[in-house]
Amino acid sequence: MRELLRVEGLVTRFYTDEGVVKAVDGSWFALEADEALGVVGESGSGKTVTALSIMRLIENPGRIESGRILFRGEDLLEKPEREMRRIRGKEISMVFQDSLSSLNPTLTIGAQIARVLKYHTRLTRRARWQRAVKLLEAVGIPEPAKRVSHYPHQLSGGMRQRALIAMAISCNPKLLILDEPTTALDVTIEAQIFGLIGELKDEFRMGVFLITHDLSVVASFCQQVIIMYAGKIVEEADVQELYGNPLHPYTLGLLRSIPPLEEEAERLESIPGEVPDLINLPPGCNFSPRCALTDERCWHEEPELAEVSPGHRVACHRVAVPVGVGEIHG
Amino acid sequence: MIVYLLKRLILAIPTLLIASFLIFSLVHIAPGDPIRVMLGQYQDPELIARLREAMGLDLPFHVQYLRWLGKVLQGDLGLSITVKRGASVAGLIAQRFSVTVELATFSLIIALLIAIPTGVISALRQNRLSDHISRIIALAGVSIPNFFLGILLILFVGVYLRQPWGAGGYVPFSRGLGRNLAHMFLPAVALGTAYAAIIMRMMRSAMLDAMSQDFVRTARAMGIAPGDIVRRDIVKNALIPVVTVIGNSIGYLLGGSIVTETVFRLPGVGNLVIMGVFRRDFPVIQAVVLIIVVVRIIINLVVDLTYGFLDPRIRYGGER
Repeated sequence: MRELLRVEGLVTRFYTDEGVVKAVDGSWFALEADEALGVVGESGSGKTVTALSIMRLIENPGRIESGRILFRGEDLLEKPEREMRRIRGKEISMVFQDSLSSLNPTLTIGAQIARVLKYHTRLTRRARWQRAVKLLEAVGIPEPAKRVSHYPHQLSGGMRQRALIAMAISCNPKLLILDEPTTALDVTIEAQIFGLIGELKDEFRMGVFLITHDLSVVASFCQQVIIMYAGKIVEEADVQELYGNPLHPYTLGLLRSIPPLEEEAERLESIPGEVPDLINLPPGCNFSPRCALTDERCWHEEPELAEVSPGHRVACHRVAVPVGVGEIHG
Repeated sequence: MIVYLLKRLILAIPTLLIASFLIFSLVHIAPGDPIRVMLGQYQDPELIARLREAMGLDLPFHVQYLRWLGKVLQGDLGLSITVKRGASVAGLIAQRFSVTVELATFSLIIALLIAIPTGVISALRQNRLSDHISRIIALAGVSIPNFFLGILLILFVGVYLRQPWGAGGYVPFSRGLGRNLAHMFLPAVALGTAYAAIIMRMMRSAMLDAMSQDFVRTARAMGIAPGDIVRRDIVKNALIPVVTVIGNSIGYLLGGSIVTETVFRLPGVGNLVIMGVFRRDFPVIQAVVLIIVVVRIIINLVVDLTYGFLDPRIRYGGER
């Protein structure tokens, strides 16, 4: 396997009137080509900002402060905007969550797909349109020749999401970022969409960066998982390891809050408290105010992300780090 | 579409009836009497009574209204009493309508030429110097009454620069399009700037709204060029609310032309209604105001249809 993406020490902040929001506060991770990486966390944990930072789509008052984003070995943060425009949509593509607001209401589906092709291919106008029809067919939209000239509001939510995916994969990107692609859809459609993404991933050999808050989706779809909390990665492991041997108290809390299928749960467990204010983060571990296992150290000293077993990293003072396995950075 | 059009036309009927009643009432409630204006210094009570009777002005109010309404429905707008005695009001309006339409059209073109580009630039360069400058100009444009701006323009171009086309007055098409347009230019500027300011501010806020939409982010994520995003994602969506404002402005332009035509001595419909008011020429005032109402209703309808053209969500309203 080849390394497709490596993010090193990414820091993204938003300079608002209320203060500095530390949306992503030092992220380190890597993604292999044709691997699916799941990024899990509550709203405001920095998942989407991480994705937008990779695409260099952070807008004012946000700024990528430091770090490196190596895509196929080249640092995207060093690239001029012009070069980034060539990469966006062609090399790295992104599907957003709300398909209705993410599509231009005044252009037909076909026009929106053909427009992407116009910037990244040398196809003629006619060929672009034909390719748009083919793409709609590939994502399982019935009557693609008719749907291609429909406007977004004329399609159902599931169809629109498929159309958005068709647009995102139109130029065979190497990396596909999916930002909660199924939150607006019902469960059966969700399963269909993930089935489709899985097929496309294998067919086009794409790396997938999947943002979600749904751990069950990750279990069935991804090979590698990152758990984010308040702008930091708190745990990373492959799927089997994370579900079989979760270490961070926050990961444990997330896993416990999934309703069990077999036994009847009296009450669903939840993590007490709420996500901290990203402007006034607590000293020490960000999770300490909500954690049941805290000791003195957790309140004062920020835990580093450390490897506890090969491929399994966790940022927690209360998890015993085996002797000899050092920190992976810094 | 046709059903919609019919529905709107049927809805226009009660609007017109209410408008006609209001117009008629206001004209008759207002103090002053066309007969007294007509007779000038020879105010013979007997003569006044005879003339009132001859013109039906002695009849009860509702009888007068119904008589007028009946005639209007047959297309008869009546005869002028004092502006041009005995001339048909319809004829007077027809003579002058083209002047007003020309003024309104010219003003609208000037307004759009100023408003759309500045609105777009202002939004794209939000909170930078060019944005602040255009917003200050816009505020000034809205605040200065157009008659005052008109007087200033005449003073500067006509009096100070001694340009013949800057002193007001009207040159018909028959004496050359160039001269006609030259004389129309200052009135159109005076009338157009206020609307330019309104449209520009609307365009700016609609642009800012469109710029924050998710589909703009999608387009950026797909590597679309910034110019293309501005044109097809931002401006195209921003124009939808702006068209309503433009439509409304056309109505205001017709109203605003009343003052502007007077300042620049243009023989338009606005000028006619002013004369009608000064000389208490009831049929003239009633007819002109009624026609302005009709034109506005038509314009509103056209605007609604344009809306459907710009926004596919309205065009295909029922179908999914």
